[in-house]
Amino acid sequence: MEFAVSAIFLLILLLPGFILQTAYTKGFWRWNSPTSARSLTEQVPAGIILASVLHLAWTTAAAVIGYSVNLRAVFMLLTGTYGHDEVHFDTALIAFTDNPYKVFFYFASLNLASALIGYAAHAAVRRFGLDRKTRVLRFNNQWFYLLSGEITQFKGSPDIDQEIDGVLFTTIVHHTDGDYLYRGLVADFFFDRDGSLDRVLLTLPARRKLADDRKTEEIGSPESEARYYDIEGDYFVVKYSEMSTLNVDYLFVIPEADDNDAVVNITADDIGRS
Amino acid sequence: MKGKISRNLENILRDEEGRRSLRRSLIRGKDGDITVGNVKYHVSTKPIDRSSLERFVSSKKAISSGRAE
Repeated sequence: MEFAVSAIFLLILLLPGFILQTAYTKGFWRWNSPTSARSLTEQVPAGIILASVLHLAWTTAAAVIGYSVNLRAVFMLLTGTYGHDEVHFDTALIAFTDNPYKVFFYFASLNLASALIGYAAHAAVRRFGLDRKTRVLRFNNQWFYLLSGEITQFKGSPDIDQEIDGVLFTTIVHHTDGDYLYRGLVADFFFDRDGSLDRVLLTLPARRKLADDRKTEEIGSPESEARYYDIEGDYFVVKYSEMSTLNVDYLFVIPEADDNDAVVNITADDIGRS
Repeated sequence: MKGKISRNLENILRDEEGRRSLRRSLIRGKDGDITVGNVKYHVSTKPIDRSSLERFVSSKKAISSGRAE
């Protein structure tokens, strides 16, 4: 029983550290995916360190505003030792039962603050592109970086001055009558519960039989276009489990304008992006 | 949506003729020029290096300010 109480109390104490980590790694729903979460063996040590720092800050803040935390009672509840014949058990218990609202407010505010700090840190890292510049801050979400094109901005990637404009996705899917090559622009992508890529949403999709590969002399010719046929609809979904291989090409679009007004606008945009 | 589609690419995709031209260009596996309204877009899978981009931008600036070469 004592062991169970200590374990539950320990979990409550460590909770802010885990909340901060989860909020930081998952961020907001827009690019949220389970792959952002670290493994449990990585989370536990980081959780202990973060929770310790948060509690230190919170107990200091509580002392500053005139509420001191009974660390002796905390230690006794944590270790499950209350002295000879458990003479201090009542003292430890009273420290909590006499101040239920204060204890509740302490943990509620600390957990809320942990979540806010995590989200704010995530937003700041994404806003300033720190995950692209620094490997340590990079989220465990390689599919996102690949399919959004952000991988081109990683340190060590080939030096590209421009930001990409689109992602051309090509994959081979096996059908009963042969392999087919699907191609389109990546509009969105989704992950399954385990964090693997689940499906990719393509716009401007087209497909052809893999056997209809073009000959070298056909590159850029109308004959190469005839091998494909359009797929009707706004979006086409390709399931990752059905893809055998995939290829990603990054598109660059440079506007040129005929009238002067358009030139000025586009030029300013290009300067900003370069 | 998480896919990367820039404003320029979106302009092309919104236009029916632009979509057709882009599709043709992507399927042929060749760089292409696509005109939407009065704007011509150059679509490529190869990045344009900084010096070329700066040359392009400065030449357009010169045209817009009446200093066309």
